[in-house]
Amino acid sequence: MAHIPNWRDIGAGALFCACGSAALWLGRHLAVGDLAAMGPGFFPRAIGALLVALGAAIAVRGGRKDASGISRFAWRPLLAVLGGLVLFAVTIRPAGLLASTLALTVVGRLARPEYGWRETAVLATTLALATGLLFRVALRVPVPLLPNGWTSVPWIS
Amino acid sequence: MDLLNNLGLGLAVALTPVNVIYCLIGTALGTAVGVLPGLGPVATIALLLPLTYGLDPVTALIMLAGIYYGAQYGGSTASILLSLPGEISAVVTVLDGHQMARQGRAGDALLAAALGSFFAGCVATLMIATVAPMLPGIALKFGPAEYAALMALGLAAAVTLAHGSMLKALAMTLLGMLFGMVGTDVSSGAERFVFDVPELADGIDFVAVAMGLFGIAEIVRNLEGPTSDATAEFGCSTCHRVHWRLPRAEFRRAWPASLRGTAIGAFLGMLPGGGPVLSTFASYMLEKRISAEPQRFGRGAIEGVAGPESANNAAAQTSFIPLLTLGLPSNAVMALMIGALTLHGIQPGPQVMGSDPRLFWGLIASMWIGNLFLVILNLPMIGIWVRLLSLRYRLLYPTVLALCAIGAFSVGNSSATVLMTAFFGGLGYLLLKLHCDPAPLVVGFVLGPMLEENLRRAMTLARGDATLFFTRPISAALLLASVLLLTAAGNTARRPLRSAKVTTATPAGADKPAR
Repeated sequence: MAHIPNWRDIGAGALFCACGSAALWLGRHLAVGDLAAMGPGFFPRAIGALLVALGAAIAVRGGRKDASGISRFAWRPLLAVLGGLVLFAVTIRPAGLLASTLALTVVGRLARPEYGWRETAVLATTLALATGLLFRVALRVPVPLLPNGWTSVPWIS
Repeated sequence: MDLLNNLGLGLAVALTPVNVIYCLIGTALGTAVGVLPGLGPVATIALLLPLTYGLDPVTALIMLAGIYYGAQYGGSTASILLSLPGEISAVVTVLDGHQMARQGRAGDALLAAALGSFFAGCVATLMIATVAPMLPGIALKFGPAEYAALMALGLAAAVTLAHGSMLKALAMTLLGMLFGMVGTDVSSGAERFVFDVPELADGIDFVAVAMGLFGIAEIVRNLEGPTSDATAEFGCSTCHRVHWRLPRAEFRRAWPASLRGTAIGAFLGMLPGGGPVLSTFASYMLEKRISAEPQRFGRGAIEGVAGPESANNAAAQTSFIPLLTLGLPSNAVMALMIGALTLHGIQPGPQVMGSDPRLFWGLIASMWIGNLFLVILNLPMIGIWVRLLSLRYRLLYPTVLALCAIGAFSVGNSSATVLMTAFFGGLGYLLLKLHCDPAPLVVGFVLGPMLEENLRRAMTLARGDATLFFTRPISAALLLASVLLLTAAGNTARRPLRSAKVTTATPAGADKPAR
């Protein structure tokens, strides 16, 4: 019987190894100190090394375990959701909460091709206004509502 | 009777109309921010702190405390319905609570959480009243070594509660600890993994980690299936049947779990550094351990909701004990409470109970009233929460996304938190694909820095002699408990694996159902 390795475990092991090595490499200039006076580098090194070892163990065991593949990545929803968040993050400072919520919703709704444009438009507008009211007016979170330089309405500033 | 006198004094303070109204405001607000993903009690309390200047200190504390334990309550609602734990103490509730919702038992889960929390709140309040006056002596014995051992116990509990392989859970805990190291090292002031990004110097915000790993990753996963409209996911027809009473079989499972959860929470909450988070993990572990059918956990076991929900509510209340008796903050909210006290010119510390009994006992009595409010606020409104489920997912997810984004932004009023949320969302999705449970990562993230700080302090005090952890009785006992936990879980993890080969089920029996 041909043996197919467990790619989930191998992938996870590789990820842990990579993170552990990154910690070891990026923290290489941090002082280790000694047991009586541990430096800032002691923990990163210890945890990083442990993570590399554990990752290797997981990957090796995965190579011997029964097959189970990694299900396909759903790139479209992933990119739409993360892209929407990134767009929100970069637009909120210059453009304000209303515009960036609109942008987030429109991009986020690209996750599935079958979602209609009219619904997206209504939803985005409603969400922008509702979150603006909730966070800025009701909860008084100091978020800029309107683009930089636009005069804010005095009663919400 | 001293106790009755003290509680009488407390009730006299807490039942004045002003205090009752502020207690109601606090608990209602707490429930709301607990349900709203992204805006947690820490942010809310921080925002409201300036508004309490004009209030009497007792009134201010009563309201702020109400926000805190109200949010524990509301957090369970968002966890169960949306798989969005706004607070780390609600992370465990997701495991079984959200599964129950998916199976159309959202009403049962919410009811179990509500009743468990109320019961725990009442018991914990009584417990504070009896225990607090004698606690200062015990808690003073907790040095850095004991704290470090306590953190180790918390991390061990996180590993054992995770789904699937224990090795993976252990690695996830370590990964979380690495993320927890990002920022300025508390002891030396050195910057670690900051890459000259000023936003990283203060460390990664917990909100970004939790929202990304649980909220965002879950949204993407829900959107990947062929039935994108999650009426299959959420809008199950039975959801609308909201019971005022739990079905008998569920109730019989839930009440002992709630009782045990209360005991665990009340005890762990008292320990400075323990608190609601640790108690939910410990309670879940215990329930899974003693259950006759541990395989039901992670698939909608009501004990997995009732136990941890009771535990976190009990712990949220008893965590006021170290604050009020010693002036020690056991978590971020308690640190803000210290800020609130000092704003009003009260020096937190062991003298508060004696010098300001109105404050101490008034606050405690108000917690009982607040718990009553929470039941009144939540039970008749369970229908509203459950009706949230019938929302089309294609309309619901952009709403959650927007709330997450704004919530993340409002934490530090900076876009960096939003970007970090996106990063952890992507990581969370990858980890889901690799069948790695994100819960231990979050625990490692929170407990890691505390472990490091206390370990370093303890080692410095002992001049590098590591045997100190085994010669001090409390720390030795805590470490022994961690080892026992890990070996016990290792044994149970191996057993189903062997039988699973026979039934050709997936080896990691409790993995999330592949969609």
